[in-house]
Amino acid sequence: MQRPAIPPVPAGETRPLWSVMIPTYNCARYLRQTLESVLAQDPGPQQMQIEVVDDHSTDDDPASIVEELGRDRVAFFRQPLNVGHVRNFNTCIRRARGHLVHLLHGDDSVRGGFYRMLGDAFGRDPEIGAAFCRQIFMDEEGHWTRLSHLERPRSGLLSDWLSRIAVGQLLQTPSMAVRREVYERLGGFDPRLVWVEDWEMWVRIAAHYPVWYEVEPLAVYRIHGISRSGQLTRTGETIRDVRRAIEINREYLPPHRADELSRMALENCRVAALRRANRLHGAGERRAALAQAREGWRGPISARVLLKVLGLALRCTGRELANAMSVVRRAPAGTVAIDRQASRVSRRAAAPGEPE
Amino acid sequence: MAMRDVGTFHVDRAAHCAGSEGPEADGADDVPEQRFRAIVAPVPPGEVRPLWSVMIPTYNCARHLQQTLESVLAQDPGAEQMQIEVVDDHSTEDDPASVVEEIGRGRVDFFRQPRNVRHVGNFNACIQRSRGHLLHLLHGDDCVLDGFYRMLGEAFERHPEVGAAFCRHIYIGEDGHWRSFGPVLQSGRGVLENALERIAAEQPVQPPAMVVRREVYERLSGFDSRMRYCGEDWEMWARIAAHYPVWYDPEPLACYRKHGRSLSADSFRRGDNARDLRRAIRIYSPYLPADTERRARARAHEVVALWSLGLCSGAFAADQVRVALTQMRQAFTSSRSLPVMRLAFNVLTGPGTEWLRRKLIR
Repeated sequence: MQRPAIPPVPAGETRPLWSVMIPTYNCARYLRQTLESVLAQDPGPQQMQIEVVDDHSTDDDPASIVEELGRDRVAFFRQPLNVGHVRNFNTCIRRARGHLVHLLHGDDSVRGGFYRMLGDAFGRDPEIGAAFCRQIFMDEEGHWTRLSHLERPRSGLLSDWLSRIAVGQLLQTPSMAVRREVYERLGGFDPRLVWVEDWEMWVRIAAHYPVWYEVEPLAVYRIHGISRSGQLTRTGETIRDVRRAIEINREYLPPHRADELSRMALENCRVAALRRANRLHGAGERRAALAQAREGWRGPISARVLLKVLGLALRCTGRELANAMSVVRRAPAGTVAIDRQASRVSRRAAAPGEPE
Repeated sequence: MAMRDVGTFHVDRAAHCAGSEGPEADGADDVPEQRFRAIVAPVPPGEVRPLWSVMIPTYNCARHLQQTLESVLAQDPGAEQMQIEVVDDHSTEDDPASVVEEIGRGRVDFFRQPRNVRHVGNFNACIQRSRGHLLHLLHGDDCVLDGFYRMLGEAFERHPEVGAAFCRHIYIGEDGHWRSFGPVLQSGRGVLENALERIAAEQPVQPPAMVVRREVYERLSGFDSRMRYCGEDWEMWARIAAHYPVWYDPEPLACYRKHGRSLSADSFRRGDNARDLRRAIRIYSPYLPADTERRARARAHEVVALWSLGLCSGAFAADQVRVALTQMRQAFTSSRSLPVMRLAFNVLTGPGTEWLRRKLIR
């Protein structure tokens, strides 16, 4: 399968070290914070390209924020029509002119030192294809809620990274910087995927290049409410997407471990689906919960999945009973309605592994 | 087991050593309170006073002191604006003076207690030795993030009625890596609503996040020495909230270090940690208005019990069964609410059973 081609930057063109590419879609209310976090560590246009690539937003006006904050420093490109987030990411990569590409969603942000620390890593070790840092999760109001797992006690090259990332999604896009030549060689994000295209990319890179890890939490990823995922979650499409990605990933995995790793990835993804089913049910989204539970159930029976299913059944029954006796008040409908409108630019891979 | 962040109490390292006397009788609560609280005299008039006093109590924590000092010096507005002083409680295992000399290079003062005065005594010495208007008691193993003094300083400047201000905190580990975040008490920065009740019920503050006007200590006196192991900070913040508006900033600007501290420490083995916290609750209860007192007290006791159960769980995992049983008993003494019973059940069926299994197999 041919992945979207990323042509090299024409020879002779002046190239900055960094390309900070900021995809947006109806998330202008967060864009100010995103841009401020980048501009606070701006090394100048010779060193860094900064560009907002808008996927034809319909609800707001990112251009005005770019104009107000960017003052000619930040370029702005608007897709003539909505192309979907995966294609918009690929547009970002193609429009990048720098050697290091940072895809920073328009509702996320970085902390001071992000470009210095990751830039140093790439400078020290020309072998590495990508580098990422520990990340902070924040809520819709911008309050930090938790931290991602610490991959190792000190910054450095990750050992056996492929077998870690192949069984679960461990990072979010804003924490990752990738050499442009890696995308040129491996191609862009896979448009067959609609939900975990980023995870597939990190596995693909891990299979071909060493990856560096920075222990400082320098990227901040925004998590929208549970139902933000809307249609894809309600129909169980998210889990089918993970299954597709697992099949795609299989071709990069070392043949003698491919079966084992794929099986673990699948089980993690099913357990995550069952966990999500429980949360959705708790939020009063019965149909979405059912779709997730059904997708989680599909596949070979293992002790872990069976336990989860039993736990889920117990919890849901308990909740239904409590509801029937109206002991428990339902979650207020307002929260769900707001979540549905949340921007699509950043829906995250809900793939195996990490809780949401 | 997922432990909640509420119910994490500051236990000072220094509290575990020194002093062999047993816990004071509970009857001590009836005698006039002033006896147990250090008097804080005003700074003599005419003396030049900086805005800030960053007072850094230390006791055998020199290995972390470098990070503490660097985090303050990175935002140092100069000696006219900020007093910085390390007050060492007669450390026996390390040499904080050399760290102060190396990192402080003349900018940071150093005072060493001629003998160990225990942590409450040392905190009070910090208050008495301060010269500034705003007092930040920053323990020598904690640190602040950039912006701490600017953000909280602005709050005091714009709101002269505020007696104390604190921010959200970050928990860090022995290795310095961030582990988790403290609770968000309210979404925006501003005067904390229901501050007294919330502080009394939950203890949502860790010491490095709190800044207090010196005149507040002058009026209300220092830390109460009836709490010997922990809880002296909780009572102090409640006392302040009972008399002054308290400012809150939801931005996490202070780091509190959670030590993998030894569960065999005396206070844990005897259960004095929980007794101290219940004593703190007893002492601050009269500050609470009658209509909220019962609810706040019940919740506070529940929070103490949940903390004890967390320690119990850790003690089982570390094969410290006596500590585990003491803490379990202390938890039930503190509260028997539904969440406490549920957690107790989980601890017994989880780490407890696991311990039994290990014991039987061996």
